[in-house]
Amino acid sequence: MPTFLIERNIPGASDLGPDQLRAVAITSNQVVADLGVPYTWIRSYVAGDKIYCVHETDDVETIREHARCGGFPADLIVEVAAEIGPGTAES
Amino acid sequence: MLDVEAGAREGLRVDLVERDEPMAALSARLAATGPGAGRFVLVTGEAGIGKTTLVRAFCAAQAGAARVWWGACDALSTPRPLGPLYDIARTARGELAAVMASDASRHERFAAALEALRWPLQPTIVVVEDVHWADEGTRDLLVFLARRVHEVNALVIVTYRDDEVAVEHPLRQVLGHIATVAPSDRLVLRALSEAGVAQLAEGRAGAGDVHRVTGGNPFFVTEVLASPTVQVPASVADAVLLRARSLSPPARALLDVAAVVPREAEIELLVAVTGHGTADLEECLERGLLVATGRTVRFRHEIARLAVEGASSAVRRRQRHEAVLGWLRERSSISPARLAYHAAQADDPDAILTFAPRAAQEASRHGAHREAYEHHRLAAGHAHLLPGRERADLLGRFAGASSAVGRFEEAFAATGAAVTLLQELGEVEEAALATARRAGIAWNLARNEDAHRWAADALAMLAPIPPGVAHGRVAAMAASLRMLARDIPGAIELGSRALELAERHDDTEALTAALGAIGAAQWFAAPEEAEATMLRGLEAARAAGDDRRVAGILGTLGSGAGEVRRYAIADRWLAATIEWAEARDLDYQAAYARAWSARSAAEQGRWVEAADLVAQLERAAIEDRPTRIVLLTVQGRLATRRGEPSGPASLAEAWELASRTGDLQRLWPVAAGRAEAAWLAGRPGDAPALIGDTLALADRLDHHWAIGELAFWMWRAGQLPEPPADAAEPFALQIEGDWRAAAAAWEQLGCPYEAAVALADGDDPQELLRAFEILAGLGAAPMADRVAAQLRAMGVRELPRRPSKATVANPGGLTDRQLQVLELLGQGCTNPQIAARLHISPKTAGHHVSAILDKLGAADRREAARVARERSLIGG
Repeated sequence: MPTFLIERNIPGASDLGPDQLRAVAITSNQVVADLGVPYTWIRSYVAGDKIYCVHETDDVETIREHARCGGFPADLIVEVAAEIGPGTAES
Repeated sequence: MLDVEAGAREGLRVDLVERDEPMAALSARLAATGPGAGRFVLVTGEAGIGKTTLVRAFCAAQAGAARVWWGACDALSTPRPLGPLYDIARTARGELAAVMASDASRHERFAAALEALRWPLQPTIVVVEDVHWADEGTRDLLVFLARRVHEVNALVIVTYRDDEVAVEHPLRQVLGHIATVAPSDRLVLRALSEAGVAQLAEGRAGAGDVHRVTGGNPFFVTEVLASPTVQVPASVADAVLLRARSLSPPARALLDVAAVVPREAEIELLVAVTGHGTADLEECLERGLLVATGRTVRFRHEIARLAVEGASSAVRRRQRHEAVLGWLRERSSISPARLAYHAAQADDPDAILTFAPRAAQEASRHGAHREAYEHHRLAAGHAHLLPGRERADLLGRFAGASSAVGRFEEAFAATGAAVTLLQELGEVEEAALATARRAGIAWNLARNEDAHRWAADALAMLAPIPPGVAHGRVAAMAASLRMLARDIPGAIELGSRALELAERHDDTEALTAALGAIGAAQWFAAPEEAEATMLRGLEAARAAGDDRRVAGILGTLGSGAGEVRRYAIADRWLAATIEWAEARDLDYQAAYARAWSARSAAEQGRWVEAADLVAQLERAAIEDRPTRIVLLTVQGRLATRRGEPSGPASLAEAWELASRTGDLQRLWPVAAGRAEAAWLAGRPGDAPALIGDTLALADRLDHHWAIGELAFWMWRAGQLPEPPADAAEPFALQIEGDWRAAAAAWEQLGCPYEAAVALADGDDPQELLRAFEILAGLGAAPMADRVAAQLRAMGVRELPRRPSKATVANPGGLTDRQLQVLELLGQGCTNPQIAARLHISPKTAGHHVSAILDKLGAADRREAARVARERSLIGG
């Protein structure tokens, strides 16, 4: 299944408190459960005025649907072409 | 499966023409929306002008930049309670959806919606469509949101037809409220120009004719352009019908049934009722007469639905409603309001008696009291078909719903009929309860004698049977009536009996009512115990989740303490009432507590604050009778003491309203005010005629403060040699001639004006000077003039200068210098900057600033600037 990297512009994202982040996670989980198609939210990073998310699903449209239903901005969606890390040097 | 896209793809094309400006305006408002910077936009214009089209296009363009919540009010004669919020909950996730599906209170539903709008990741566009049809619950929701939208991250777009919102339309007040309390804009959509129409006509001939006939109404224009003839139809209805006529018979049959279903019709419903298939429905969609939205279809516009519906005979329409009802009643989760609508239109009494009461119950649960009343009234019209007991219950509920919307005459008639029925049936307890409720309604109609008679009747009816729950409730209701009439011993005796029964039967309703009545009565008999009793009642009401009762008890705590001049307690509980009531939008209770705060402030010599409160309430146009009486009384007495010309008119109106109630608590302050005005105007002899009856009433009820104040004016008129035994102390002292002790007692209570008036009875120049200073400081010109004359007669030449009119008149009692400082403070200047600008030392500037904070009751400089702007003390 393709992996997508999503960039969400949220002014003041780094100032979101634990309760707010919890609410965001609850909403996202609910939307994922209601989508009715294979969808995995891997992880998200809150940084500066943005949240970067890594999601897995078949279709970029589903990423948009998830954003629309949940009230998440999705300013940039790109499919991950390859994953590398320190271990890539050895392969 | 029907291709739901067909309608949109092949039906009428609706282009946005000449709407760049409103689109840009909406975008700009959305751009200005952020967390803690929500706002309202009111989109308005006549039917068919394109409000929905514009807002839909705007929301579509914002996909990704904002979350969209969409709710619509429906054109049912009695709309679904909170319909739009339910629409929204269906698409919203999280807590709101859960709360809306539960049996949460209305306040909890509103709070859940507000909480969801704090969503920090992107703004939410909340669309509430066609609010000219909104139910009362939805109107309350809009007011609730307007008051708090500045805290959340939402752009609330409300659409309505301005030509349908006449002056007396209930939405008017809501719109006015939004405009005053919320950051808001109004977008008025205009008709298309001739060029605009030509653009839509895409070069076809006759665009000029189309513009002339349609007046540039976009819906009309598109209907005409889609019509199959060359000639331009004369009305929009003609245009719609012309197109409808070109449908095949099966398609037309589907359209006709859809036309009796407001807003949206289930496709399954249309197919089942007509026996025609989805292919025929496709024809309606392709012609653009209907638009598909998932499993439902709707007319492109309500105008079109009404045109098609109106083209059939009344008999046909009734049959269609019957068929629609037949299908709907077999389904679960159909709103009772919808069922009641079709039952009424089908003129089916059994169905009305089944569904209207359910719809009413649902409506009152959502605080849509107006709609609950309408549904109950519909059902009550067929009550004669029900067996006795059910009929009595229905009438009883109708009476309750009528009272809740202030239709006391109808409530009165309905309870009368219910009492007769219940008596015939031998239902003694129910008959007594209904009689007691009738007594309460009579009190609202200012028929106080009847009220007390019926309360006594209700008690007598229960006397022969063993005490039960009904006995407690009836006794509690009777106790409340006695308390309101200030028959204190009667209220305490009945209340105690109710309390005992309520405790024995563990009945919360009687318990809270009894404690409220006893506690309020104790202010006049045993004031030390009142607070504790009321607090017990408060606890019980809180535990029962009865918000309204809690507000009622809090308010009585405050006003009761105020009436016996225990101001510290009064002010504390009045503030608590206002806070509680405003958080729950219990506007009447909040307004009553505010009016009482004004009275308390006035009696404590905080006249500027009192006048401010009165002015605020005046602007809010309060209709509630008791609030209005308190307000007019404060206004009239204050104006009298200040020597302003408006005093007599306010007191006359207050007297007129108070007389109708016959209640001592309303009558006595006005009577005293009128006697005082006559005395200040040099006509002390008028007093006996103005206050005689009220004093007799006060004597009968043994109300010490009322007796004291009224007897005092009798004494001033030379009609009373010595104080009555039960007069409140400071008045008694003054009547006895001990003005020094009277003044001290008034000062002890915190009533400077009364203290000065007592001092003015003396002959000590020092004390007279002190009285003069107090009166001059208050701005009590008439009384200050009297004292000045007394002093001059004693040979005192040098009187202290009176504070300038400006100081007395400035809200907050600020001096001119303090106003200058405030202006700079509002501009964000620091103390050294203020000092430099005004050529004073920074230390002095600091003193001015703290004096200002003190006088405005502000916690810091920012709050002071805000308060000052709100009260228009400074610019910006």
